[in-house]
Amino acid sequence: MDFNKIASNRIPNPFLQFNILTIHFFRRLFQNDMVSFEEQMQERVIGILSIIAIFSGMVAYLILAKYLLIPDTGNSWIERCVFITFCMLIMSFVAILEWDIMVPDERDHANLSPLPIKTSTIFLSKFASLCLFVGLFAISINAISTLSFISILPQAKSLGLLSILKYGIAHITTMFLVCLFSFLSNVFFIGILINFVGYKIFRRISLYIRTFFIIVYVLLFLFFLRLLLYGWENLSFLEKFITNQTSIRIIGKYFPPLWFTDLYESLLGNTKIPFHGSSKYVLISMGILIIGFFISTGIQYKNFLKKIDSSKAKNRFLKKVQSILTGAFDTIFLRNAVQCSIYYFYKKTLKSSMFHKMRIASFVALGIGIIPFQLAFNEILPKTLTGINKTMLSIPLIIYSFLLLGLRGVINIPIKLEANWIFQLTEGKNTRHYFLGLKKAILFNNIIPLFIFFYIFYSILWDRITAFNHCIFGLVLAVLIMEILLINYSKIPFACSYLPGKEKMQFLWLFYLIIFIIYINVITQIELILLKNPHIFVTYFLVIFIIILSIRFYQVFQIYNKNKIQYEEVVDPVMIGLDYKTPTHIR
Amino acid sequence: MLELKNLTKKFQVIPVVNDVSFSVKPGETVGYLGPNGAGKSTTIKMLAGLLNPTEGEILYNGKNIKKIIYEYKQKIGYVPENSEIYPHLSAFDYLMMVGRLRKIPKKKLKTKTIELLRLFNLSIEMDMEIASYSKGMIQKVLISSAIMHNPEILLLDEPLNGLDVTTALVIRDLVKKLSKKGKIIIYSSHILEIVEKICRRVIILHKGSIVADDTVSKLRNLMKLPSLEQIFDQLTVEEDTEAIANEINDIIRL
Repeated sequence: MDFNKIASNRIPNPFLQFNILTIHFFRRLFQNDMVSFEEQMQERVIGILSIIAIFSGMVAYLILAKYLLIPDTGNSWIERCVFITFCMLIMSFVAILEWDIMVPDERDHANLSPLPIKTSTIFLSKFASLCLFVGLFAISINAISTLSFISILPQAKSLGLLSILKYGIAHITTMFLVCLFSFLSNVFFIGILINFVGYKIFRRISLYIRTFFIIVYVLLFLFFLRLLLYGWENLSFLEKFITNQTSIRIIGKYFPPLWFTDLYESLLGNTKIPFHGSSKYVLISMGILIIGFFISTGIQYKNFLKKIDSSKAKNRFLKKVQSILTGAFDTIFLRNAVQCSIYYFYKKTLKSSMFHKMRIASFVALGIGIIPFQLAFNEILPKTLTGINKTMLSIPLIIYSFLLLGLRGVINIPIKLEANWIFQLTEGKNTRHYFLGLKKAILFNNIIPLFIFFYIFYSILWDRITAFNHCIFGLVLAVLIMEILLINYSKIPFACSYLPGKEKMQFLWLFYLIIFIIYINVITQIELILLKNPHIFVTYFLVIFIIILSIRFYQVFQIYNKNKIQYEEVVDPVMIGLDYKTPTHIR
Repeated sequence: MLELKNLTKKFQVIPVVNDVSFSVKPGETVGYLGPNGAGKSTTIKMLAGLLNPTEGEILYNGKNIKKIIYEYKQKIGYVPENSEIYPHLSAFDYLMMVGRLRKIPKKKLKTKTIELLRLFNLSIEMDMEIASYSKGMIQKVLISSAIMHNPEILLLDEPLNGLDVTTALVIRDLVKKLSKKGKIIIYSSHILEIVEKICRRVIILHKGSIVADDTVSKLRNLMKLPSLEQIFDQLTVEEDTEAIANEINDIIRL
């Protein structure tokens, strides 16, 4: 048999390639810079989908609960619209987590272009993988919620099995389209952005846009929760808006959830809604989004082929100035070589690793998301925003606390674990300098820039001296928090292995939340007293200084002198034994 | 002098390095050879202090390296077999970081870094991220980081991986020069031709144990074989290589 002939005559099957690539891209969607499911992928995905399913089911039940008591007078489209908005929000959040993995990137291009695969197969399989991904989440969102929609609403109750099926199909179809629309809108936006500003600039601004969207979605989500818990009652502008036929007809053209609500109602045969006819925008927008996806990815693919020249020389003058400033900074603050080394390793890793930056950004976004809650909780009116009160004082405290918590978590995650041999090989006796370098890096790269921003912000609201005092108070406290968070830390940042989940958030989150609320209130109360009596500031500084000094002494004598740098984290025993063999006095 | 006494390393219960003993004097360059999985890299890692031996000890100037680990580490330069390096740093940043960790004085460090990169033809790319480097360029950075502090002991594990002919020749001459200056050099490689030219003495490892330890000329006379490659084949190759090649050829034609 002539094997050569067979091999050369073998033509790749495009359908098989499409299948393989779709699965490949689909799997890649679970391995991005925000969430990594590389280990136990199946279990983790099932876990997350189950949480979403239960949560969506609860939301649907809460929205529709009133129809268990009051009959529907034809206004249940409002609840459908609310649920559609909720689905859009969830899907947009998922899209933000996926962000730049949604469009074919340089990695795909580098790996796939040498293979005998048509460009159209790559694009189609990418699109199919996105549809699969959306489908998976759509099933999850609607798995339990569909039951509420087909059983609670009175129209459905009185009908037979076939009609209930009709309700179910209308619900599932609309919701899948809602999810797909929401997801593709984000993909379309990223595609436009990449093509408009170029991939290089996109990579630089991507983090900020992403963080902005995370904040917006967190805020919208909190607003949504508020609507669910308290209803429309004290949001008179919304109530007026819904009842006003003209305004809702106009907004029906521009507000996507209403397009899908109309589609939903049309599928159920209900045409008596004020914005009837707006479902045509669903078809138009979906068409635009799908065509837009292929055009934008096509242009991107072309741009990759051009290869951007990244070796542009830096401005010589700027380079010299930068070198002088860096030299001066090193001489003043980083006199020890090991400290200097860790400082720049931290700085450069944080600068270049999108994964680490996104983790920190999500922590900060969570902090920022809490602030409006805090403002609403304390009923702060615009007039009192300029006043010195506990709520206004708590804003930086919440942000820097979350930032430091984020940093503490993020420094545990290695950038490339296999490369840490260089630290092991060069490890010196005095490990203290490794951690001093880390603390200085956090202070100069994260804490101080944040407080400069706070100072500018509060100088606009308050007088400069109060703003300065407020920032100094926060800065000193931030240093103390950093010291506390790093008290037992004995690793090189971004270079050692770690085991996630040691905080046991799933069990202790309520405890942490309560502690955090108490902490915010106590600290702001202390600050309020200090701002009213600035002469006590000296005592405050002295107390903080003594605490920091004690921590440092503890670290030097109990940790750094006794322990080596921990390159590998030790796994907790699966079962904790009672250790009955060791005598009690030794245990 | 560097001495290995009955060095054994087991992973789980399987011995990867089994009762290995030899010593290397200052100014001596030893070729450390063996087929894949023979235990060469594991021995080198133990010599670098990155792995602890299961049994046996390593002595440097008569002292167990465990007891003088920090001082010992300051004296070694190591080029690993796998080019594991932080890809987000530039060559300049990486060498500066290593130099600082090695406590090279600030003024000397910058000059050394720039000059080494210039000599290895990396001046233009020195500010680019290592992620964009070729395998050979990464190897040049690793070699620079291993020699920049003028170490007493050089542990080279496949140092010519991916290097072009010119740089390989430079490294060959450099190793010879360093050896003349009294450095202890352990050179692990598959490229027997270079080992033959650089090292007077070779140690051949097979399945974790030493099967030969002598000068190349003595081994030639002893085994009545003209080249190091044939000696190596005789000591370590157990399979019929041509038959395996034929089988592979058949499989790829399926």
